[in-house]
Amino acid sequence: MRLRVLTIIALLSLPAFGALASERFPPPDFTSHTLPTTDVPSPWPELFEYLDLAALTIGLALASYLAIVRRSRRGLFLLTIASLAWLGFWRGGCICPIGAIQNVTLALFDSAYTLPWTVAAVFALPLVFTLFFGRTFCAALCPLGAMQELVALRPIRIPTWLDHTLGLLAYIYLGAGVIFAATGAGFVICRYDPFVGFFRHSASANMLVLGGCFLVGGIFIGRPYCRYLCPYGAILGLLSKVSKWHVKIPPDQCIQCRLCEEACPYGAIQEPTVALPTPQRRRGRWRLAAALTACPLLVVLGVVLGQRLEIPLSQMHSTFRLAERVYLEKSGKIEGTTDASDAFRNTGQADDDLYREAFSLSGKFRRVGGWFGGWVGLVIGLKLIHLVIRRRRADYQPDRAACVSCGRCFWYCPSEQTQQKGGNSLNILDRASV
Amino acid sequence: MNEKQNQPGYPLAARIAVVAGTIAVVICALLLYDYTQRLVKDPLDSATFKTLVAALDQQPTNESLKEQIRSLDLQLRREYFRQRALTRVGAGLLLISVLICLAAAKTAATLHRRMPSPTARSAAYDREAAWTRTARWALAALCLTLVGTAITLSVGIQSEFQRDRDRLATTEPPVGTVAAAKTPPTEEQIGKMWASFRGPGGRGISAYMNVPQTWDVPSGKGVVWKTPVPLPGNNSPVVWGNRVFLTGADQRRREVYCFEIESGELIWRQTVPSTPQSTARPPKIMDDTGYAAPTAVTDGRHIFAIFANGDLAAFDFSGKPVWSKSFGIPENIYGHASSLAMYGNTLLVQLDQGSSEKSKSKIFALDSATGKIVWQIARPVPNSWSSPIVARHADHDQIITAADPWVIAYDAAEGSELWRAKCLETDIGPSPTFADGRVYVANDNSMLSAIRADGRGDVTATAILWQGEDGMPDTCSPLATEEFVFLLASYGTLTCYDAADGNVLWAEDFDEDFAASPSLVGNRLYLIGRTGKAWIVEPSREKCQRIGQADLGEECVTSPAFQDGRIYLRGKKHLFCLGI
Amino acid sequence: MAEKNQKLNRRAFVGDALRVAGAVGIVGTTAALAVRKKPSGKLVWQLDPNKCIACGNCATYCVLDESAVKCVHSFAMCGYCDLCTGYFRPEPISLDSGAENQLCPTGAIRRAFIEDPYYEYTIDQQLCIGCGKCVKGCSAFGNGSLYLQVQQDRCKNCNECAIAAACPSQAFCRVPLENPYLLKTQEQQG
Repeated sequence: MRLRVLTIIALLSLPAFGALASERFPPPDFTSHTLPTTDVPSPWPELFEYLDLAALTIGLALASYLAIVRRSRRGLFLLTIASLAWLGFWRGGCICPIGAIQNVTLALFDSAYTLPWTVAAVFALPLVFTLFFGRTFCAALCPLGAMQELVALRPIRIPTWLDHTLGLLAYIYLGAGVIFAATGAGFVICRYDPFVGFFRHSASANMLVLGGCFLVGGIFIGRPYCRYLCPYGAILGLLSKVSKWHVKIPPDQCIQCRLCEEACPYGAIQEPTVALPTPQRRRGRWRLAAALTACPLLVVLGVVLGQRLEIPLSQMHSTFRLAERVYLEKSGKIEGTTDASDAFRNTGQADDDLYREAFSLSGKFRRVGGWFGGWVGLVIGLKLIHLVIRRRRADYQPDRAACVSCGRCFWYCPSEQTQQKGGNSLNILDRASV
Repeated sequence: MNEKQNQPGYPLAARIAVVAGTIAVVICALLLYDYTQRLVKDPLDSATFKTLVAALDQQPTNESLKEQIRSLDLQLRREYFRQRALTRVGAGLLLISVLICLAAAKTAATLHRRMPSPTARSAAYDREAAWTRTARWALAALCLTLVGTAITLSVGIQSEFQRDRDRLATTEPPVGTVAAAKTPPTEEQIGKMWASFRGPGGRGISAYMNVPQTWDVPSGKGVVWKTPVPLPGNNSPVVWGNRVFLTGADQRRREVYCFEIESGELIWRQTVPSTPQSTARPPKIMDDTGYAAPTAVTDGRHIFAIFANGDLAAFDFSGKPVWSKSFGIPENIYGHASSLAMYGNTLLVQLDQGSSEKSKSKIFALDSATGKIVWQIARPVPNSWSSPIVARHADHDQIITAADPWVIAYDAAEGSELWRAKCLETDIGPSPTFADGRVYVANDNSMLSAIRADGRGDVTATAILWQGEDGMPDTCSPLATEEFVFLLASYGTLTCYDAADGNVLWAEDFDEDFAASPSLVGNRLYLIGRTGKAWIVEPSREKCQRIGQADLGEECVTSPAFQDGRIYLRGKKHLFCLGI
Repeated sequence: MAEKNQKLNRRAFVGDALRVAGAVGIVGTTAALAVRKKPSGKLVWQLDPNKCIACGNCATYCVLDESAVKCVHSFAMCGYCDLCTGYFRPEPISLDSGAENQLCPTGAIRRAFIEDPYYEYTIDQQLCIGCGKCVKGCSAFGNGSLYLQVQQDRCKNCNECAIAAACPSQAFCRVPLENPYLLKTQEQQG
């Protein structure tokens, strides 16, 4: 009864209410106004990637020719400048073969990631060329190497033992880059690339300072990144050891003047060895035996220690950090929330699912940490063996692994100067096969 | 070969290098200075601007203050873009000067090339052995450093999360909570709780027999605790585990409350997020309905609440907001009152609004974790105030809704209409109920209809088993068992029908107005009147046996929640826990 | 002498063969990885607007000074509201374009009157810095028609995107160059 009266009163005074929406506010129907379209800018065409690849291939061929056949330092230097300008400053120095290590690793371990074939080519091409011609990529193609070449104005000579020891850092960096890429924690090689900030004309302050330090350091230490840190350089060095052809100092006419040794800013020229007396040779054999036994022990030690690094390594991964944060907030051990933990809670995903994912990640890092530790152990063990084995050299020659084919030694060699001036064509290919 | 070869051009190259280098250093310093300035004083985040705007909020009509703010804003924005342009230009200049410097330095170095002068050496000295020996020691040192670093890292970096790993993996979830968030609570779990309006299935039937049969709050008898509820509301308490939930609202505020079940302590109260549109003006409601009429619903993981202005919110049990949604203020003449329901992982919202001619009614199913609409169906009905129930019949889980004129059942899993029956009229307040394969609906301007629930399509002609006319309620929902159907009219008459054929068995008058729907505990009915007086009766085929009486001491229009040995009841001002 | 030459030639041949095998191995493995699923062209970075929480990191973490992430407006989804919660700050003094009322710190959103009570909002890309304040306002209280996207003409396509690493909701992903945007469509409503 009462309701009926009220209904009539209410119906008579119906006000206009807010609209119900499946969107909150339904888009209006305009009669005379046309909606503008959402314009988004189109990307640079893929053509540029192919151009870069072509430039890289041509450059590699040219560099190999200039280094091994023509033996022209000037040619290599001009190619360096061209490469720095194009691949470095114009194309931003990305994607480079050094970073491509991580892309290839990610493609191996993450089935969700497809490796673009241009990236695969950028990774593989310098390796193939190095297998045949030595580290000509480093000589004139790599923009990072080019930057360091330009600033190597007053290089000091690093003692050989220090050079070799620091060179191991590159292998460790390679291992680290691979494991972080494989587990999806990120691309650390790209993150700490010192010169990419200059190539892109923009970077965070930290990266620019790092790059600046490398530049300033590079004035006095030749190619510091290439020799002691570059992970790709580590691989190239190994391949270059077994390359078919390599930059050589002409052995027939070597007069042992040692000018080239002084001239090489990177300490990559090895001097001839003296023969060892017999007692020292026997001691040398004992040393070799010791090194051979030490190597597997070092590997085992590395695996054990590497597995213990489970937590620090896991914390490099954002999912693990998120799980930690969510757990600490939930159990009240930490005050406040972060954007990430808020965003996680908004998704409505169960905490337990996140924890499970984080624990599986940390298990993965435990295994991967073991591999990394084993790799470092192996590298140190093999280096030890390498340091114990005697080599026999009769003349000055470039260290096949460390020589970046820059060609400075060509200019200083008096035999070379006479030969070239004298008109005898220097058939390097003949010599290289000896 | 020791004289320096001073080729022509060297002095020039050297000078250019020095000049370019100095320029580069100066530019670098300037850029660094500008960068630090940018960090310290971000023009887009100016404290002065903020204070001025806050001041303007206090005096909104101050025109000169507005002018000041606007000119300051223009200045700040100009500054920001100027800084950015300066950085760009500076970086370009730096690059050019560094390149010039390097080129000049390189040229100078080439022109100034010193011939290397190797020192004399004795030929017999075995340099290789010397440096390899040193290298081996250095290698050992490197090895030790690496081992030391590894040990420091593994010991120094601890993770409480990792340490508590075992505990996390094996902990039993606390009583009543649902273990894996993705799986909804089972029917058994829901049956033990009181998770929605009128309990499991919306039937008003208690799972526990040991609840008190009398209480007298004014004298303190039978009250375990009573807690004041901050804002009023007509919604009934919902219970899960050790938590009791209520909502409350007034013209401007909407809140959700969580009480601890043993002590009655208000553990948390949360404001419901709203939009400028839903709060632009208060919804028009009747005082009888209030702003928080719909009862909340929970699935053991979250608590969901909706209010008269269309704001819907989800919170987890610790009070953290999970998601919220605003449907806009519904066009509802008395105020939105339909309670929420749940099916599995979906939240069901019956949003009836509009008039018969221009109906805007819809029923929504939202994903309970995210609030995204899973499905929605338009309903050919005007505004109504009944709540949906979820019932199972013949392997179909049905959502049953009652409005004018249709009673519509939807397939809960698929979100499609199953059947509809035309048997109601005007303002529908009582919700449907379900028993023994039948749906029972009643309203004061219609009849009590018993509808078979296994139809398809329009079943008006075929599925209505019987109808009744006596004792029609306008607010209280019917209560049905296999044997009886009870109607409680607002003016105080309890009518009992035979569920099989619809014969009126008896009618009992109480000297009281009722707004709360009747509830069943075993074979006893609990009838709670508007003044707070309650009657506990034992109905039989022959008569209505009055067993006991109780007094809440406060007005009450809500339905009770029954748990083990306890009744939770909301009065006008308090939430009561009644028990021995 | 001939024997020694023979031995040297054989060793050289074996060495060459191994090198060629190694080269083929390198090229083959990387090629196999590349075409494992289907040949992929270039991949670029993009931001999934459904995961974005408008935290503001896009403006500060990009390696570029002027971030490559900017706001785009889906006009088909816009409600054209008088009180746009992406344009106005909460509780504006009045509904005009005064600096005291606007949410955007650089004034990149233009408000134009269409017909009563509808206003059109357009974004000036030169001024937008990608801070996401308008996105937050629009998605919390409005239709969500304003959202952030990586502008592919500005993005340097770093191998590791600094914003992607810093995104709290992991909203960044790699998308193929042919379809480099993840635009919101009306069907995604609700």
